[in-house]
Amino acid sequence: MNAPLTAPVPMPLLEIEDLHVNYGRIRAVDGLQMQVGSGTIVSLVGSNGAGKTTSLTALSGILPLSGGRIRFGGEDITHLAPELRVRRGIAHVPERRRLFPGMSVRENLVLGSYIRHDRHGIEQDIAVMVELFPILGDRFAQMAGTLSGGEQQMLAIARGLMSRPSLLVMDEPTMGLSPKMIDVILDTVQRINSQGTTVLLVEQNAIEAMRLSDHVYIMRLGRIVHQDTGARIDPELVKAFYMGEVL
Amino acid sequence: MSAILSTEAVTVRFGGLEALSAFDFKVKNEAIHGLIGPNGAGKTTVLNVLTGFVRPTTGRLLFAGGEIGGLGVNGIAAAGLARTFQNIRLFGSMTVLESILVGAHLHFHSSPIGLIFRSAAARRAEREMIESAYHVLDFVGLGSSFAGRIATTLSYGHQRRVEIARALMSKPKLLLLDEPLAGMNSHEKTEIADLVCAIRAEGVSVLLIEHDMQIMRSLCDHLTVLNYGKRLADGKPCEVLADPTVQAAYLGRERV
Amino acid sequence: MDYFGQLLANGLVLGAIYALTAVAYTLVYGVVRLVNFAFGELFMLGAFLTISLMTSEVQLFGTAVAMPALPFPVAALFAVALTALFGILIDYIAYRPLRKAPRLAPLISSIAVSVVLQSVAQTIWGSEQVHFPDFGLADLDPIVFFDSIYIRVMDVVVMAAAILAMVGLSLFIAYSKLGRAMRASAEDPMAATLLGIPVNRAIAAAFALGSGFAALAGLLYAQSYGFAHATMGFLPGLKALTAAVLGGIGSIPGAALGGVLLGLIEALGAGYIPDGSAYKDAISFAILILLLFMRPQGLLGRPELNSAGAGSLLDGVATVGKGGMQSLLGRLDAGFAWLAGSGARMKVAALAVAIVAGLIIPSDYWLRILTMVLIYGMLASGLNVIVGFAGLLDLGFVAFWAVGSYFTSILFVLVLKQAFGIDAQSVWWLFYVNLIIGGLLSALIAMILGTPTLRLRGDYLAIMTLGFGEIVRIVATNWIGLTRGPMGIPDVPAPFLFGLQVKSPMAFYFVALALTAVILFAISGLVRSYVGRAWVAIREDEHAAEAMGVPTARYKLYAYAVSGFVGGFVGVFYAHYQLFISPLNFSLFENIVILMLVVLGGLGTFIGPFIGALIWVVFLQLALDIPLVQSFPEIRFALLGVILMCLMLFRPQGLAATARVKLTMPGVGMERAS
Repeated sequence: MNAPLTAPVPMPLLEIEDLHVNYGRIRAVDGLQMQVGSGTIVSLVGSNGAGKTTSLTALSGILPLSGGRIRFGGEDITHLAPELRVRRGIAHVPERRRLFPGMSVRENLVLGSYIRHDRHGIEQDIAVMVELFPILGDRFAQMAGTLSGGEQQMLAIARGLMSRPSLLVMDEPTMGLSPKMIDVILDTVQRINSQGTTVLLVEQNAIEAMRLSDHVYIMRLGRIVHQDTGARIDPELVKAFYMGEVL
Repeated sequence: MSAILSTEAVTVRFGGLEALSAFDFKVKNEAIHGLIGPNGAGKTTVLNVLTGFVRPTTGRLLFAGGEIGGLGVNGIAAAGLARTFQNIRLFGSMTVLESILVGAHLHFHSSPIGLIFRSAAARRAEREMIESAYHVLDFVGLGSSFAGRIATTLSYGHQRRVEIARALMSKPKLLLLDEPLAGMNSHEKTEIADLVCAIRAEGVSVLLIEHDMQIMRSLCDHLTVLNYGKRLADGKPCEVLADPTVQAAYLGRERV
Repeated sequence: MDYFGQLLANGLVLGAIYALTAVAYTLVYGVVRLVNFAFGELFMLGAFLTISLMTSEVQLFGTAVAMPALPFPVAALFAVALTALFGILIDYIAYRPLRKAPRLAPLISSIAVSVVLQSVAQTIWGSEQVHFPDFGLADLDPIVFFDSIYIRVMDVVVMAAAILAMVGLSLFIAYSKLGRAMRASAEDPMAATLLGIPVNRAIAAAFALGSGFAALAGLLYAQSYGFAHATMGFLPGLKALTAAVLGGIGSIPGAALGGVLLGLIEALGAGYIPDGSAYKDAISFAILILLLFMRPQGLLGRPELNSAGAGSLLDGVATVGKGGMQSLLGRLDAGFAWLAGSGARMKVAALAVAIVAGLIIPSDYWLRILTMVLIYGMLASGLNVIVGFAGLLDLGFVAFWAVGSYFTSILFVLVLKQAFGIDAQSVWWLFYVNLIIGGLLSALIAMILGTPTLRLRGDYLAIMTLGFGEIVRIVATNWIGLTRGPMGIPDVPAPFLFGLQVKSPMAFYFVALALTAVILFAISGLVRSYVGRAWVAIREDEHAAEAMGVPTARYKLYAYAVSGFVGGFVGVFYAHYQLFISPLNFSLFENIVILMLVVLGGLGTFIGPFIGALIWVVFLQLALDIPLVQSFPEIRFALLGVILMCLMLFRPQGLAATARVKLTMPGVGMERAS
């Protein structure tokens, strides 16, 4: 089947229009425009300081916008409180994991399901997470702060999934991980997606992001400078952006 | 050429985590030296070690011929290593002139009694430093009309210059710039890059941590790349950035 | 053994009460990193509410009101619940808007809440003790252990209630959804928000629980001692805070341990140390200071809770206030900016106005008031050095004032006059020497006190200086051989000037004016130089200041020394002006008033402390003509608290904020400035 390969995506789950975010006097995000199709993996790549993390933080409602609109599942969520966005189905796995280090692995997972009230379903999902990341099962009672970097990332993803999101937003899930662990994490991302969860991925590891994603946006100085399907994007172009070979 | 700053096998451990492993590098005298690496590579740790905020677990730090490993933050500043901060840290409610005079703190020695009664020596010291502050303001391209304005109300680009001026007021041997270009447009970036060149021309060595490869490529004499807390590459910018291992550190690599 | 056993039992009861209150501090601190000084007052509120609900008729605002006369347990339950709701309200009004403000702002706001609650309680329930009504459990015969240790049934109830509440709370925090959300919000508020946890609700829950615990402790305390009083919460509150810090603030088992330890130390200390009961309060605070010196994270605490940076009171303050408020402030700002900008002319003009005022004001009454304005203005200027310029919150400043006053009074009255029979007139110059020596003595003490606080963060510093201030007051009250204790030192001679005694209010006014000029001259010499720039740099960003080569620890000590010097200097004059001093002159409340004057007038300005003093001292007098104030004089202090709170919310920089001080030497090298 030959679906149209470029944006706009037929049924966008998330639409970001002309997003502006300022940090004091810095324009961190300067007119971001992007769409995430339902059921797809979309990556946002770009070198450090391009404004990727800021965009995601604004998407979750933590940072105030200075302009633009965010629509999720057809609803305008631009002014929604952060916790209501979680209830609408957005789970954000933040940069550097941000687990609760003094709480056990299990408690971290349970906290991920804070917005839910189905006690039985929560227990079931914890079992599902252990299936997805068997190592977490062995570490159940351990404090999250004592896990290795890779284990912490797994726990962060699992904690995000515990709210049963329709959109999983991940910020640099492979940062600081060993090459082997990077493969494990990215394989899991693909598996999560294949089970129906839409994924928005911010990833520095552009080569892998391109391989994984249905669509890739390249960001620079707060704007999208290039976008295409993962398969069609030219790795040399990405390299040029990263290594400062183009303007 | 001799090295103004060198680290010898510097290792930093936090708990079980090794943030920096046997890190060696040298900043040559009167060089513009760049330090780059992907997020989480350990750049911040290097910075914290160099500025005395974190003590190395093992290894030595040599600066201008002396060991600075145990001097602490203001001891290192006194030894002649000045810095700016990633997210500009100016003193709120102070004017530009007052802020940059704080940078010259090390060069004031008047006694409290002399200050209260405004002795001739105290006045002379103050006058000399204010003169030198105006000179530095001109040098960073702000000019004396900025002197009386509250520093934190200036535009971002101007605040960055004030911060650099403040660091220069201590008459440093090495200036450490932590992402001085972050959040700037390309025009502002070029201006700051020119300023960095001018600083080096004055005989001050510069260590630059920055993500903008395009600028780093043209500005630096030498690049050091960090990855996983180790030195990954070291050399001329064009060679280093063409190194496949460096590219892989940034972009990832295809799976085999 | 019997004696020991009895002390042990007393200590445990006291410890249980401290522990409950300590939990309140620790709970809120753990979640929002705020030392809520108002818990002492919620403690008091719990007691008053219980008493009111238990009686059939109670005097409120001086009139009798019918009450339900509930049995003790029911009344207690209601009191706890009401106080808990009240805690949520306080958080909502006084702290939530300051969540992102510099750390000192909510701290000062909490002191303000404290003042408001205390004076409102005094207005409602009166300033006399209110007796705790009798009830069944309290009338039972004591239980006798080992034939000789008597424990009241209610004491057992107190301990049981404390244990139950503590266990209940621990279970709640560990296993309930809200408890888990509270812990998550404490560990990482942003991560908690990302999981859909309403962090503000979790914080409100911590306030509710904390306030409930404080109320429970307060009502148990009141029934133990048989009365309630508007100021009853102050000392236990401070001790509970000590207990929380002792156990490790942020840790609930730590608070329990700290409370019990402190209760035992106090009971045993009072029983075994000679003169121990007089000094038992000082023992607690001495422990606090030692502890903060040696192990600031407490016995069970985590050091990282202690590493958060000190905040600037002025930094990051947006211009708030809307509409009319804004335009009003705008006009004010323009005025102050003009005043500050007019430099030397302005100084001469101010001095001229002050001199003319002294000459033409015919009323002795108003001259005395103006002299008080100058005294408070000088004190506030001294405190301003440490709080306003260096950005360190000092709640023990009043101690330096006391040291100066006592030093000169003891020397003139108890030593020279009484021991050697030397008349003040023959050594009249000694007064002027004493101004300096008293100042230096206080500066020395300030530096000794300051040394351990250098490593501490803003709020710990506040606690420690508070403890120090209390120790000085307790010593002044109890070391009767040195200070004559509560009797005070009468007949302090008025100062002489070459054989002429300063007697008339006008003469005193001019002496005060001269001293004010001296103080301002000295302070401005230091502030308008590299020293002042270093202080302000520390206040605004300590880490950046350190990185610029400022030895921050040393400059903080300098600020302490200067502040202490001014306190001692003014203290010497104060003693010779009042002609009588007693420990009552140097209460913590005075310290809060002085702090308020600085904040009201404008932190880090020269004129602010005097504007604050003028407004406050004149207001205190004028308000006495208002009928409402005549019947309830305490309401003035409630107003003070409300003003302080509003300032923190709308204008944390103080009224005269735009009269900012130039930090360069006047007349030096400014020719190039535009």
